[in-house]
Amino acid sequence: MLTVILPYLSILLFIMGTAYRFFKWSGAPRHLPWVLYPIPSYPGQLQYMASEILTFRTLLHYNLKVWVGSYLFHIGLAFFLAWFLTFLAGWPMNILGKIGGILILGGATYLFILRLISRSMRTVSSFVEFFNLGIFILFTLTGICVVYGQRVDLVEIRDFFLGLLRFAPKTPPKETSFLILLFIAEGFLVYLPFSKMVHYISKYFSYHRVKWGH
Amino acid sequence: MKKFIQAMKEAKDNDLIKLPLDLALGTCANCNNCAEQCSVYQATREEAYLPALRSDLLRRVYKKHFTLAGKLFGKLVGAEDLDEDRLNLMAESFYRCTMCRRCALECPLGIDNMLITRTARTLLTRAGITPKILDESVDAQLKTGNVSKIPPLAFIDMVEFLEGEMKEATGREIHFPRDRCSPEILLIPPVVDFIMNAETMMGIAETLYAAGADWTLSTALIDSANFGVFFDDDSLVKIAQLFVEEAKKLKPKKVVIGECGHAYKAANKFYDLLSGPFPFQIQSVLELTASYLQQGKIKVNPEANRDPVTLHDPCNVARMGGIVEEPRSILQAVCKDFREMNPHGVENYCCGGGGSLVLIEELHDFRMEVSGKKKVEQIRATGARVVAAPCANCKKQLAELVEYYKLDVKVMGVHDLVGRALVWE
Repeated sequence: MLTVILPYLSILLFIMGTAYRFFKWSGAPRHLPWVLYPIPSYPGQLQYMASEILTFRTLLHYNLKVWVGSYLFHIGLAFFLAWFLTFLAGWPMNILGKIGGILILGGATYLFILRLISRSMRTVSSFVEFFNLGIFILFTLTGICVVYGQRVDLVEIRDFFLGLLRFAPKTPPKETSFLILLFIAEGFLVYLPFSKMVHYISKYFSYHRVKWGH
Repeated sequence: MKKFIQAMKEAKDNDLIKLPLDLALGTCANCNNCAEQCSVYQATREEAYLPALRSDLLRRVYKKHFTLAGKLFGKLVGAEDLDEDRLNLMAESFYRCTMCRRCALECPLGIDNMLITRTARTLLTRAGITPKILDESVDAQLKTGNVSKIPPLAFIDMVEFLEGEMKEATGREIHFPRDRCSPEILLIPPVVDFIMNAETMMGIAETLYAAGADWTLSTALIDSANFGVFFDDDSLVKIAQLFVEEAKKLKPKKVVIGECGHAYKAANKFYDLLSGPFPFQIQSVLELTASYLQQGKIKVNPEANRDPVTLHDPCNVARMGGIVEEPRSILQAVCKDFREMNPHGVENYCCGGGGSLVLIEELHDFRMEVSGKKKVEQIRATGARVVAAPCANCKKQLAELVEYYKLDVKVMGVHDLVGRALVWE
């Protein structure tokens, strides 16, 4: 039962959490305009956002050590999501999944270690930074167990997800490694909009409302 | 300490900063990209000056008191309570940030450490901790209309003295008109320019005279400064309202701010929100003079300024005010050898005295050895003999740097150089 309710609940809470933060910021009152120049024109803004999202331009230029881990990590996320879609669609491009997994694990571990060995990074890191990276490390390691554990049937996993999507839920594979993976993913979805990693929404406001003025 | 927490509660609900503060406190990834921008950190690379660490001083207390996770999980999520030690550390650390916002310029997430610094200073003020000079200056301005407590008669004396100087230098009757009604331009300089940077004031008066401008000073409003910008919303609002009220009385078409960084930024960007809309434009004297040159209203001869000149972009003028091209176009017209610093424009470094640090005497050594260090390197690298700085606070800091490091450099205002280059027909 729980294994059926939790996925729906976590997705619902993720959507609600994201919407809550988005609308709270969107509806914020007019603030003192501490703008920062240059304020690009609309096409300039798109260009700026594109170069930031596609290349992490400013990190690349000023903070290469962090850029390596952060960029590879985020690219890994993109590959992983792409793989997941092909997996659900029935034409799994497993190479995407493998690359994604390696990049996520590699990037997160790199950043984790960097925060331990670099004095300036260590000074500004607290438990929560390590925790956030740890989630991804745990997720990818568990994922490796699931995929290479032999005991789990990938077809069964796909059926389980499709069942969820069609609102005709089936019981999931009972393998512990898969259930742990699922649980981590569900927990992460609920945690994400309320965590520091909310920059997938906040970045829009930081730039379009604060830095470049309303 | 209770006052601090209570003030924090008010700050997070304060409309004027609610959105940016929420974003800055809640979404920083602690990646230290800001450290690579910060002139204070770059000088010594000491951990204590990491911008993210300084911001964390406030962030951790905020988390402890105002977030569910902070209340439940405490230190695990980086939430810590306020105690005497932390309060003292904050009092020191937040008056080591120059509020230059270079960090915000390149933060991948758009986090603004300056805003956190300013908010922390506001909270410290509520808790009774403020540098004396700031309290005294704000008091002086609210009582006498200017931060230096110059009474009207003394002001008129100073102005008449400068008029005499200009007569001697140019042979012309150039005046500082006072309290004329419905002029096109009401000029409001930083009052300290009349005492410390007289050549700047004379340069401005000569420029306006040469352009045939219809302008005036206001004896009730001889100081555009607003130190509330640096540390306190109450003062910021009160002085803004004073400014707008007095300015309205003379019914100018536009109000022109003299060579002052924070005054221009505050007036141009904040005052309509803080004291309601007003029927005049707010312009920087740099924009005005640049337009005079472009329209051919004044004629200049760059041979008058043969020494190599470089431009220091005050943070509030360039990065926060958007006045980037104008001072350059002026200097290129009035100087034979104008050289850019590296970096320049919006990316230029703070002089080291920003965020009111230049006003605090006890911070002199810090400003010389730490916050101003990058600026000295920049100036030396240009080989310039003159640094033009269109901001009264920057001029003070740069002059102190020049003396401390024994640089063979003069610090001048942009209008000093314009005044020298003016061609009288």
